[in-house]
Amino acid sequence: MSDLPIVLLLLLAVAFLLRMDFVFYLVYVVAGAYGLARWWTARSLPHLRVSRRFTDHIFVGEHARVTVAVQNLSRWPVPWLLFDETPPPNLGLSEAIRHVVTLQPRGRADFDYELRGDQRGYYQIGPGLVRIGDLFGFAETGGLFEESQHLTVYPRVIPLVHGELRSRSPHGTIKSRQHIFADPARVSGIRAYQSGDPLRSIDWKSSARVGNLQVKKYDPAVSLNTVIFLDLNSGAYSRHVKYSASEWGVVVAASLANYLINQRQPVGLACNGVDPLTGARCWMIDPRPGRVHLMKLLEWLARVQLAETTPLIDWLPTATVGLAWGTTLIAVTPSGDEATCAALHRLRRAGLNPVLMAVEAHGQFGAVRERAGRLGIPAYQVPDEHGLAHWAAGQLGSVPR
Amino acid sequence: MTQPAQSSYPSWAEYQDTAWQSSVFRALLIALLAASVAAGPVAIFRALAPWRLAYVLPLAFGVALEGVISTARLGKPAWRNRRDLAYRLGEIVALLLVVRLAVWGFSAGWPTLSQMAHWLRTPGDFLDGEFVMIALTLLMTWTLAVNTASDFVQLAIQPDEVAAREGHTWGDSRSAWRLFIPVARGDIMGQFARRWLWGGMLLITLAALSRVSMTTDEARLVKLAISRLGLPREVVVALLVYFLAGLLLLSDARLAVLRGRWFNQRIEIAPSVLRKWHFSSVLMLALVAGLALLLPLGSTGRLGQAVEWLMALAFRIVLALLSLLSLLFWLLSYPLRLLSESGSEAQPVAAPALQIPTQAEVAWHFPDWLGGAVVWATLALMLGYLLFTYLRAQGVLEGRWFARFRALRFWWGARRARIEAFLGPRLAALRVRSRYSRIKRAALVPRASLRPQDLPPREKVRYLYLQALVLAAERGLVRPPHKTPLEFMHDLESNWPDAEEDVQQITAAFVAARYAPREIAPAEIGVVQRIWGRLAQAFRSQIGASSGAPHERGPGERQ
Repeated sequence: MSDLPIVLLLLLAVAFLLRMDFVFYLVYVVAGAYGLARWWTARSLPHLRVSRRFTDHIFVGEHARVTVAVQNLSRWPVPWLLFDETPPPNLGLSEAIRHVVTLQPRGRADFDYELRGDQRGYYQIGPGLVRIGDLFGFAETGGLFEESQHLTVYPRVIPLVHGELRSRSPHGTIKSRQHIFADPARVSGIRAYQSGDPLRSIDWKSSARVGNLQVKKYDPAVSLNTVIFLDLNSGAYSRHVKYSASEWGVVVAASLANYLINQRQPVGLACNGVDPLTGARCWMIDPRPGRVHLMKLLEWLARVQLAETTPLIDWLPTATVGLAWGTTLIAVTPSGDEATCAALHRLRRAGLNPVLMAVEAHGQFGAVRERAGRLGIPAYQVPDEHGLAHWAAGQLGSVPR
Repeated sequence: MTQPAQSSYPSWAEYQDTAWQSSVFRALLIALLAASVAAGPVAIFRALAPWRLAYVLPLAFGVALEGVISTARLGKPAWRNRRDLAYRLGEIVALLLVVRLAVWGFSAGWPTLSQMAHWLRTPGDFLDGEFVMIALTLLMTWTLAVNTASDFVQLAIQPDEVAAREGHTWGDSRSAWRLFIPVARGDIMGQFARRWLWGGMLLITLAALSRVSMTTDEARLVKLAISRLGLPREVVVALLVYFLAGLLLLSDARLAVLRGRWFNQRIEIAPSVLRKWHFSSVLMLALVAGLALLLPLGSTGRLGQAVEWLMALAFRIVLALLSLLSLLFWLLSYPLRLLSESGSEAQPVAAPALQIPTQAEVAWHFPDWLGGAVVWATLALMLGYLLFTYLRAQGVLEGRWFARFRALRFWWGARRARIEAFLGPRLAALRVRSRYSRIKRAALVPRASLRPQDLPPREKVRYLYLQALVLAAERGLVRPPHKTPLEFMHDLESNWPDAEEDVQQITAAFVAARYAPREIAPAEIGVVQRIWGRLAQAFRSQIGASSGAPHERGPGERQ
C-alpha cells in the first residue's frame, strides 16, 4: 500500500502532460477513498467511550458480572471495532475477552463476562484495548482506554461463636469469667448478705421482702478493645508455606475482626504488609466498633500483600505507642519465636494485653506456648480452619494466668 | 465457515471456507477488473489498425470469468489431482482456440481453402497480427484474473487453520499442530494492491498513448502530437470499472486479512460486521465518487494550475541537468575520440562467401508442404493432448462418445493383459535360458587376464565361491539374482546332500570375505581351496555322469 502515493503522483503527471481530464477524476476517487479512510479512522477513535458496570466488592466465592459498553459518540459509523480486555488472573477466566463489532452512528455495543472471586485481592479491571480501522486497509489505529476501575474481593471470613480472649479493661460488654471485673449494670441475681459485702450492693427491696439482708450478684464484664497485628513481612514466613500461611493469616485476622465486631467491640487493624492502593507499608487503623468499620477492615485486608517490610518485632514498639491501657493486642504471626515473645512481654509490661496466634504449623509449638506462658502471654496455634475452630471452642490450651 | 463436529473423523467439508470461496460478487469483480485491462491495448489497436474490435472486451470478460471459476474450482480438494501444468496449458490452448475462432468470426472472416493450403506450406502465416495481438491481450487478461483469483483463494481460511484452532492437542508438546504457520494474508493483500495500482498505471498509459499520433514533416523529422482530446467511451468505462472494482476487491481482501487474523486469535466476530462490510464499502465509494464529480477537472482549477507549474519547473530542471551531464560526458570523451580516429583506418568489409549447393543437395528435394505438415502434426498432437486434458478435467468428455472411448480402452487393456499372460512365462523362460548359456560361455572361456594365485586372500575366497557357483550353474542350478548366498546355500544343499558341509563352509567363507571387516588370513585360503576341491569333485562326479561335461581345472592350477 506504500506505492499508492507514488502511483497517484504518476497518474497526476500523466494527466497533466497528456491533458486527460478523466484521469483527474480517477485520481480524485482513489485519493479521496484513501484520505477519507484515514480521516475517518483517526476521527473515530477519540469519539469512542468505554465504560464498565460491575459490583466492585464481592466476597470469596461470589460472582461479579462485568458489562462493558463501547459507545460511538460520532455521527460516523465505525466499520469494525476490536475490543480486547484481559481479566486479571485468579478470577475464574483464563482467556482474554475479545469481540469484533460494528458500531452505528451514536451506537453502542455491550459485552458481558463474569468474574468469580476465587482469591481475595484488589484487582484492576481493564484497561480495554480498542482497535479500529477502515474498510480498505489504508488505516488502522487503536488505543488503551484507561479507566481505573477495581474489584475488591474480600478475604474469607470464618464465623466464630466464641473466642478465647481475655481482657484487662473493665466496664465492657463482654461477659467474662474474671470476677474482678463485676459489672454493676449486669445484675444476675441476689444472695444472702455476708460479712464484708459492700453496702452499695445491698438490694433493699429484696431484703424487705425476704426479711434478711440480700445483696445483688453481678456478672463480670470486660471491654475488649482490640487491635489485631497481622505480620505480613515475607522474611518471617517459612519459604515453602510463605504464600499459603500468609493468606491464612489474613483469613484469621478477618475472622477475628468479624467476631469482635459482632461482639460490639472496637477493633483496630495493624499490618506491616504493603497496601497497593495507598502504597503504605506499615499501617494501622484505629479501633472502632460497627459493621461499617468492619467492612473497612476487610477492604484493607483484601488489598494487603506480603512484602519485604519492617519485621513485626521492630515495628511493634512504635506502633503501640498510642494504644490505650488494657488494649488487647492479637499478634497474628507465622510462629512465636523468642524475639516475638520478648516483644510481646514488653508490651504486657507496658499495660497492654498481648495474645499470640501462630498461623504456621509448628511441631515444637508446645515449647513456644510454654515460653509465652511463662511471660504471661497466651499463645495459640491455629494453622488451619480446624485449629481455629478448636480455638474458638476453647479447646486449645493456653497458659492461664 | 462451518466448525468441525465432535466426531473423531470430521469430513474435509467441515474444514473448508465454503462461504468465502463461493462468492459470486467477488468472481464478477475480478472478471470485470481483468477484462477492463484489455481496454488499454484495444485502444492502441484501434488507433493503429483497421481491425473490428467490438467483440474483444466481452470476450475478455468471458475469458477472465473462466479463469476465475477454474481457479476457484482448482482450490477445492476434489480438484487437487488436476492442479498441474498440463491443465493450465490445456486451458490456454482452449483459450487460443476460442480467440482464433472469434477473430475469424467477428473480424477477419472465415479462411478459404487456398488460405489453408498456404498455411500448410508456411505455418507461420497462420499467426497473423490480429490474432497474435488479441491473443496476447486476452492471455494477459486471463493471467491477471487467475492470479487475482488465486490470491483470494489463498486469503480464505485454510483447513489447517481450522484444524489448529479446533484441535485439542495444541498444548501437547508432541503435537503436529505446533508446526502450523499462519497464512501471510497481509503480504498477499499487498501483492494484490501493488498489481492493481501498477496495472492501473499501465492501463492509463496505454489509454493515453492511443491519443498520440506520430507524423513526419518535410524534413523527415518525427513529430508526436495529441490527435484528439477525449478518450473512447469504452476506455473511459473500462478505466472507471478497473479502479472501482479494484477498490472493492481491496476492501474484500482487507476483510479476508482481518477475518483470518480474528479467526486464528479465536475472536468472536459479530455477524453484522461481515454482513455490512460490502454494503459499507460500496456506499463509501459511491460517496467519494459523487464528491469527486464536484471537483474541478484538469487544469481548470487553481490547484491544477499550481501543480502544472510545479511539474513544468521540475521538467525544466531535469532537462537542464541532463544537458549539463551530456556536455560533461562529451568533453570527457573528446580526447579519446581524437586518439581513436587517428589510430584506426577503415578496413574493407570482406564479402561473404557464396554458398553453392552440392549436386546431392540439389537432387534431394522434399515436397514443399512436408515441413509444414510435420509442424502442424506436432502442434496438433501437443495441443490436442493438452486440450483433451483440459476438457476431461472439466467433465466435458463424460458423454456417449467418451464412454465408447473408455470402453475401447478397457477392451485394449483386456487384450493386452491376455497377451502378456500368454507371452510372459515364455519370455521368462527365454531369459533364463539365455542367462544360463551366457554363464556357461563365461565358464568355458578362460580368462587370460585373471591369475587366481595372484589375487589377495579376500578376493581368492570370493573367486573360489564364484567358481563353485559356475560349476553349479553348469549342472543346471543357476543362482537367481534375488537370492542371498545364505538362501542359495539351501538350494545347493538340497541338490548335493553329500556335500552339505562343504557347501555351508564355503558359503560362510564367502560371506566373511565379502562382508566382514576382518582381515582374511592366508592360512584360511588353503582350507577353502580344499573345500573347493571336494565340492568340485562332488559336482564333477555328477557332471561326469552326464554326457559332454567339460573338464574343470582347479583354481590353483595354471590355466
